[in-house]
Amino acid sequence: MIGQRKLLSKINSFTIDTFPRSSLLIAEKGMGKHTLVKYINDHIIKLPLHDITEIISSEVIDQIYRNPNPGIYLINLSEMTEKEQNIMLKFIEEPLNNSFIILLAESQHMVLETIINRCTVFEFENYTKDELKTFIYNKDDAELLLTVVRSPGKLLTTNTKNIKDIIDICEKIVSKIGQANYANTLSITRKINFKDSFDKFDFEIFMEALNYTLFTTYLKTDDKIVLSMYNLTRDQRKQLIDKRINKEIFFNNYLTKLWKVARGI
Amino acid sequence: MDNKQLKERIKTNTLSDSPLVLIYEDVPFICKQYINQIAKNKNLEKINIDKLSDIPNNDELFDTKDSFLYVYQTDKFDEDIPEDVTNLIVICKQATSKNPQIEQVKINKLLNWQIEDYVKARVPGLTEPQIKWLCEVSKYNIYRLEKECDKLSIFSKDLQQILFNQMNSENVYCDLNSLTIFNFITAIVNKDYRIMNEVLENIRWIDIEATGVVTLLLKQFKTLIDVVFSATWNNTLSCSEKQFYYFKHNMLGLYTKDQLVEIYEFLTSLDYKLKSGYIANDILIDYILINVLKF
Repeated sequence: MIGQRKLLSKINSFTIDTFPRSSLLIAEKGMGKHTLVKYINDHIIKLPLHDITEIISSEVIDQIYRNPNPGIYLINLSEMTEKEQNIMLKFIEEPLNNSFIILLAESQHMVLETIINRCTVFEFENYTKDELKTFIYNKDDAELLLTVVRSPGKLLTTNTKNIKDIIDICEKIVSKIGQANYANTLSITRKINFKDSFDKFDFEIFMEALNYTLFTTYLKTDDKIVLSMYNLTRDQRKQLIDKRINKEIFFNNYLTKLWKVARGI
Repeated sequence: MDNKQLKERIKTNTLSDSPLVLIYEDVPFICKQYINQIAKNKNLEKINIDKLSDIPNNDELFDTKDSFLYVYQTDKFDEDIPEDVTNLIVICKQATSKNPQIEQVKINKLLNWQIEDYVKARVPGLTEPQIKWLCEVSKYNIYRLEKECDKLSIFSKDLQQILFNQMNSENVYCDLNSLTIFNFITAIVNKDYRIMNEVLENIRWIDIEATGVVTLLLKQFKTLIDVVFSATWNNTLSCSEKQFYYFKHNMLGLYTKDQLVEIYEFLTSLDYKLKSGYIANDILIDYILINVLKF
C-alpha cells in the first residue's frame, strides 16, 4: 500500500486479539478503503472476508447470528439509507465471537451518530503529489491532472487522458456562462459521462476541474460573481457524496443555478 | 335512401335483397345494429367476408347462397359489386360511386343524447343521473357502454339499480376512465385545469407514479426550454424538427423565459429532495402542482 503511513502504523499496532470488533474506515471514493481492508486481513486478522453490503437486512443478520462463522463482515455504508443503517446497530454492538465488522463510508456526515459511537474510526490522510504520481501512466499531464484528481482510485479507473480538454471547457464555462443562452448552458450535460459513455468527460473529474478553475479564476480576477460561482460549486459538490442521487438531473440543477449566479439573478 | 327511410324499411321488413352500402362517420356500431336486425327480419345467417370474391356463385353445388347475409367491412369501398349478388351489406367509412345502381346510406354520428337514450333503453333500471355518469365515465364510448349494458341488462329492472350501486361501490367502473399519466403531464404543461381536476379526482384509479410525473415533466419542460430559447431547430436540440415547430406555434406565450428557468430549477431539485428525505413521496404530486402552477 502506497502512502497512509500514520494510518498503517496505527493499524500495525493491533493484533488479532486487540483489533476492534467494529471499525469504520472513512475516506473519499478511490482513496483505498478496500485495499486497506485487504491489508488488515492479510497482516492482522487472517479470516474469511464476507462483503454483505448488497444483502444486508434484519433476516440476513438473524441468519448470521444463528450460523456464526468466524470472519470479517464488510459493509459499505455509502449507498445505505438511515433505515438500513439502523438495522445494523445491534449487529455492531454485539459482534459475534471470532468475527469483525468493518464499515466503509465516504464521509462522516453520511453515517449515523449512533454507529460512529459504537465503532473505532480510522480516517485516511490526503495523498502527497509524489505518492499520487506513482499511479499516473502519462507523466506529461501529471501536474495538471494532480490539480484536480487527488485519489489513486480515480487516477487508475477513469479516463483522465482528456484532462486538458476538461480544463479548456471549464475555462470557457467560467468566462462565457454569463452571456450564454440557457438552453446552450444545459447542453453542457451532453458532454458528460453519467453512466457508460466513457468517451465523454468523467463527471466527478469535471466537477473537480470546474471547482479548481473557478478558484484559480477568482484568485486572478477578484471577481465577486466568480466567487459566488465557486461557493455554489463547493456547496453543490457536497451533495454529490450521496450515491442515490441522479447525477444528470443534479447536474442540470447545478447548471441552472450557476447560470443564474453568473447573470447576477 | 337516407337514414330515416332505412330505419323505417327495417322496421317494416320491406328492405329489398339488393346490395346495400352503409357509410359510417365515427364508429360502425349503428351499422352493425341495423345488420343484426335485418338478418333477424329476413331470417338469414350473418357471415362476415374478407373480400367480395368470397361470395359464392349461384351455380355452385349445394346452393345455400340465399340463406346468408354477407357483411363486408372496409375503410374505403371502391370495388365493383357483381350484378347477380344479393343479400350483401358493405360497411365502410368512405365509398366511391363505382356502383351507382347500389343504394348508399350515410349513417350519422351518434350524438351524446342518443347514446344516453340507448343506455336507458338497455338498462331501464338506472336513473337519469346514473346513466349520464356512466356515459361520461366511459367517455361516451358506445362499445364500452354496450359491455356495461350487457352486464346489467340480464337482471330485472329493480335489480339493475342495486347491482349498479354495488358494482360502483366496488370500483368496477374505475377502469372505464381513459385518462393516463400523459394526459396529466400535458394538462400541467398546458395549464389545462379541467383535465388536471379530472385526473386528480380519479387519481386512485389511474396508473400515476409521482416519480414518473417528475421524469416526464423534466422532459417536457426541457423541450419547451429548447424551443423558447432557440430561434430555429438544429439537431443538437432535445426534440425533433416537427415537435420544435409544433411547440413554437402552439406553446409560446404560456411561460416566460424566466418562468421556464425557475420551473426547470425546481423540477431538477426534486430528485435530491426526495432521496434525501426532505420531501415525502406521497405528497410529491401536490408539491409539484403548487410549485409549477404558481407561475
